[in-house]
Formats: sequence, structure tokens, C-alpha cells
Amino acid sequence: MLTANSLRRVAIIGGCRIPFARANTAYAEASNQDMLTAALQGLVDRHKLHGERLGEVVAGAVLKHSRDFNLTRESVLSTTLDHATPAYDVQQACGTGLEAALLVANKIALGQIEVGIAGGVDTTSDAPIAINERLRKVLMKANRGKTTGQKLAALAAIRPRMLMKPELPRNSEPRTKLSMGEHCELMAKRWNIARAAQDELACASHRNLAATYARGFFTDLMVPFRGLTRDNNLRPDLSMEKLAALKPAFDKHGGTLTAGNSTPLTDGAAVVLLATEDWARAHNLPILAYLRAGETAAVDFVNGDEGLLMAPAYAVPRLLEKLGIMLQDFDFYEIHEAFAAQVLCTLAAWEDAGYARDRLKLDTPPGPIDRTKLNVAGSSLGTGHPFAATGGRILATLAKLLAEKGKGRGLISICAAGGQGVVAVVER
Amino acid sequence: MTDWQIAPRVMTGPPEGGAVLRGAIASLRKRGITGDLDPVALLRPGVMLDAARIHAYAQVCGFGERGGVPLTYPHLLAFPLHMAALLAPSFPFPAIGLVHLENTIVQHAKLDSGDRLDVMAGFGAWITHEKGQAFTVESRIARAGQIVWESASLYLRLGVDAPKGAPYQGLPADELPLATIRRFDLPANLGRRYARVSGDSNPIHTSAIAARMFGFPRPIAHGMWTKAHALAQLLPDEPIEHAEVRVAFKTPAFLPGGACLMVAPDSSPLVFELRDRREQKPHLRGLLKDVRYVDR
Repeated sequence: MLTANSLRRVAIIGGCRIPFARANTAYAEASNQDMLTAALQGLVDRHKLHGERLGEVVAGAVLKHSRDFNLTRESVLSTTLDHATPAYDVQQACGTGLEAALLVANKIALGQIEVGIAGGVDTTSDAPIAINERLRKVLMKANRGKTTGQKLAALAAIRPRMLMKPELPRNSEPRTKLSMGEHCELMAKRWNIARAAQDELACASHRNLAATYARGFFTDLMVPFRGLTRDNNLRPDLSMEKLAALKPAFDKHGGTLTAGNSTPLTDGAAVVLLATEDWARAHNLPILAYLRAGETAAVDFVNGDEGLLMAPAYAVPRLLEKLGIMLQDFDFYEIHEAFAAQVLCTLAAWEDAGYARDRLKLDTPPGPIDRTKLNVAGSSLGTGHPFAATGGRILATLAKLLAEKGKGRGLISICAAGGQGVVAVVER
Repeated sequence: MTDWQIAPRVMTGPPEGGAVLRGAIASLRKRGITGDLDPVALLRPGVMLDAARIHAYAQVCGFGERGGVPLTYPHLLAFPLHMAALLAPSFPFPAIGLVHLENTIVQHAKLDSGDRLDVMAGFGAWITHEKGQAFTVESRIARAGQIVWESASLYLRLGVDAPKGAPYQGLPADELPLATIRRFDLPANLGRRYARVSGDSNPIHTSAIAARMFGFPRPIAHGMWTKAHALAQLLPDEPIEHAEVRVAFKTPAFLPGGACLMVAPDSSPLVFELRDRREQKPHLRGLLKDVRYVDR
């Protein structure tokens, strides 16, 4: 599949996202396509890509209407990009955005395309609600009827009850029927993660995000949308006292996860522009950083006695071994804060010799990280977490952090539903 | 108490449904004043483990394909003998209205579909319970003369004055913290589906009207289904060489409804409970221990 003479480096040119909004607030009326289009157009405007034919645009959404089967392509058609730019959708739960970036990056590296956009969008406010399964089957049967009589006979099976029971999308694992919060609560118990440690991480996320907004860091990474100029989940004045007052959200008796140290349902979109160095030079666009490598992993949380959100703990050491670097060889760690407990479980797992030996199959554990390098610009607990948009947000943020620093290396770790994880290394 | 040494009474086939119903109704006349438990065991010789029936049972209970014969499946082979024992003229109480308090299963060897098994059942001891007279019905299943599977079902006849036997020892009720590991729905047709695969067609599980006649607001899930479903979630999908599981049935689970499975993490034996959706009302509490797998 190598189409160029040799592998090319994948440059991160820039990113653009709309501010993230808590569900049923500012973007309650916005569709996935509205939000993805706004983020894409923001990226096009900032990098003057009007009329430009790109290699590919790849994005996705976790919660999707059936009409959004070609969500990304339809969004491209609503922008000022050359409409001859192809697009496709991907979906890997919360890993969607970063997975999309890896897909685009691989094509660039191999010479199949010169430039592409990767990202994701999600809304839980404009979520798809389906008719219940029994009514759907009746309607499909009526649709198959050849005569009016057959159609009416099929429709006669409709009962009032069927009309009153829509099928709502659920934030639960199909195989366990446990919500993600309940699964993470189990992990927190397994790793003895204290409530205070989770609240501290939540506090730091809001504090870091507020400080990063204050210094104007996000100005060229965001475009206002529907009256918002920054994430409306951000609480700059959040304190440990306020967090301590919250009741456990998932396990009322003895649980440690609360609404404060878990991400809320969020609406938003984020995209990233990736290209070869030659393309960037030809278009006179500076390079923020390079997407060096990516890795995915999955764990058997159903029967395997492993936590649902522990896959990144496996993916990162695997990637480190391939690259011949240590967990400590990073200047920034961007560990997606689905829940504060998820981050802390992952860090605890990397320090545990027994876990390294039995689960990760490593002689020595990856070890501790310098916590002052963790999520320095805030992360999902502050911004909120529109599932598929999170990868794009983190990738652009990390690339710019590295550009500011001038030289360095950053790690991205994102956990996803279904026991999956997507991780990547970014360098400059 | 059953004397397993004397020759058992051979049952040629499972009792036919109509006869069970007639016998159950006729047994309502029993007063339970006199009588001892029949010491003669009942035997169904050479019962084959039928792959199709096992598959249907596994589907309803949630067991996977690779695990082979589910740990709870042989209960179905012994169940007709339980019914026959409880309907026998010499048994002092009516079969209707007996409360199933507990079920313990011990499996000693891996079972395979196609195996020919000799299934025996008989009465265990009288047990004194605070609410009446309890007693056990024991099952022993042998393959080529070797006992491969055993169970004990504890039943209670409510409202018997001066019950006989040793006092009832319930499951240890130490308050270990429990964590929910699964949630699931209990669909309205669950009782009918389990009745079809198990042969236990007690109408309190299958019919809303019958359930109301017996004082339940709605049909209730079969206790043995709740046990089987909990084990289907707790055990990995692999053949079992040995396992022991004891459960106590606490409160009925109404259909349709929902339930959650909770465990005491890292407990040994593993303590588990099936509770209602709100994690309040316990339907089932169990202890699972000495699980050994074939390929490990």
C-alpha cells in the first residue's frame, strides 16, 4: 500500500472545535451535521482552504440518526471546501476522533493522500430516538405487504402501547447493561481510588482549563457557535469543598464517582488538519507537531475480570515498546478524563508490578509519571466530553502545547466503550 | 430420610403434565399431621444428556456455547423425581404452597451431552424452621456408577406447629460490600420460556391470572432460572470439572421486571446476590466455591 517512494512524516497543521456545551443547553437544537459543519468551516476559514480539494475528510459520531449515514460527506458539502473532497464516517465509541486521525495519518504516511481532516462530533441533546422493536417489525411487515389488504392486516397488529414506548439510546454496555459510570465505579473499587484523589483531579482539570483560556491559548483552536465562546461546563471557581458536597452518582452506598468527577453528557465537534510537510510548505502553513504513532487495544471486560476502561493501560506499553521509549520520556500526558477514576486507575495500573507481570506481560511496570505534566491545559472533566469530538480536541491541544514548547513529546490515551482504547504519540 | 442403600423405586418416564396437575390438586387434601419421609429413593435410569434440550436451556438462561452442560442443567433431570416424591401419597403435605428456600449443587466431573446418567432423588432430613416445617429433597446423579452431580433443595411448609429436625442454618449473612456487575431485564414471557425448557410449568410463573390466584400481584421468575442466570454471568464460558454453589431464594422477582447481579469483590467463596433494579430487594443470595475448569 506504500504509494510514495518512502514513508512521509504526518504533520499536524491545526485544529478547530466549537466550544463544548453540556447536553440540553446551548446546542439543544443543533444536529450533528450542524456542529460538524461549523467545526470544519472554522478550520477551512482559519487555514484558507476555500475551494481546496483535500485528500479525505474522516469523522464520525457515536450517537447517530439513521439519516446521518453519510454524515461527514454531507458536512463537507455544506462547507466551502472543494466539493470534490471525498469523506467517510468512522465510529469507535469515544475513540472515534483519534482513530479517525490515525486513519488519515496512515494514508498520508503511505502517500495515498497529501492532506486530510480528521475529527468527530456528538450530540446527546439531539439524540436518535427509534420506535420500539415490536412496532418497527409491524411497520416493516406492512411495508412488505403487496396489496392494500395485506398492508392493513399487518397494521392491525399495532397496539396503543407500542406507540407510547420509544426506544431511547442508552449509555450502557450492551453485554452487561451497566452504565459506564457503574463500570468505572467497579474499577475505582478494584484499584482503591479515593474520592478525594478523584475530586483533586477534577479540580485541576477545571483550574488548568480556565488558566489556559485566560492566556488565550484556545483562540486559534476554536470557533464560536450558537452564542458560546468557551465550554459551558467549565467552572473556574470549582473547589474541593463544592466537589465534596456531591453525592455518589452511580453507587449510592459507598461509591466514589460523582457528577463532579465524571464527565457530563456533552454536545460538540472537533476537527484536525493533517498533511505532509511538503503540502504544509506549499500552502505556507506552519507545522505544530507530528503525529508519530498510534495503537489500539481492547480488554475482555465481560468474562476477563478486567475493567471496562482499562484498555489504554495495555495500549500504551505496547506502543512504547515499539517506539523504544519509556513512559517517563514525555513532556505532556493527555489522558482523557472520562472519569477522574479512569485516569487514576490507569496510572495506578502502570505502577503495579503484579499487574505489569500478570496482565501487561512486562518484567517491570511502566512506572509513575510526573503528574505536573498531566492534562496541563485541562481535559474532559473541564471541557465536557462529546464522545467522538474528544480525540480531535486533545490532538489539536497537544500539538499546540508542543509547538509552544518548541520541542518535545506528548502521549494521548483515550478509553472507549466496549473495553477499547486508542492511544497515540505526538512529537515535535 | 432416604436410605440410598436399599433398591430405589424405578420411574420409567417423567410424569405427564395432566397427572402432575391432578396430583397437585388432590394433594391439597393432605393435612400433614402424621407420616414420615419415604426412605425409598426414586430412580430414572439411563437418562441421556440431550444436546438440543441443553442448547434450548442454555439460551433461556444465558449460558454460552463453549461451556457445554450448564452447572444447573442436571436439576431438570431430577425435577420430575422431586415432583413425584412431593406428590406421593405418603408425603404428608400438599405440594402446592411449598416454598423453595434453598438449592445447593455440587458437580464432581465434567458432563457431556450424550452421557447416560442414572438420576436418583429422595428425601433428606426434616429441618426446624422458624416459619414451619422444612425438609430437603436430595438428588444424586451417577455416570457409570460414579456420582457426578448432587443437589439438595430445601423446601418449607409454612405454618406447621412444633416442626421436627435440627434447626435451620441459613447462609452466613455477613455484610460484605457488594458491587453491581450486571443489569438485565426480566421479560414478561420469561416464566413461559423457562417452563418450556425446564418442564416446571407451575402457573405462578407462567400466568398472570394464576399468579393472582396464589396471592402474587404478577407472575414470578422461577427461582432456578434466577440461580442459573446468575451463574451464567458469574462463570466464564468454559467446561467445569468441579463446582459448588449454594443459593437461598429471598423474595420473588416479578415479571416483567429487571434485576441486577451484585458480588462481593474478591470474596472466597464468592458471595453474590440478585437484587431488584434499585439494588434494594434481594431475590437470591449465593455462595460459589471450588470452581475448577477442565482446561486449566
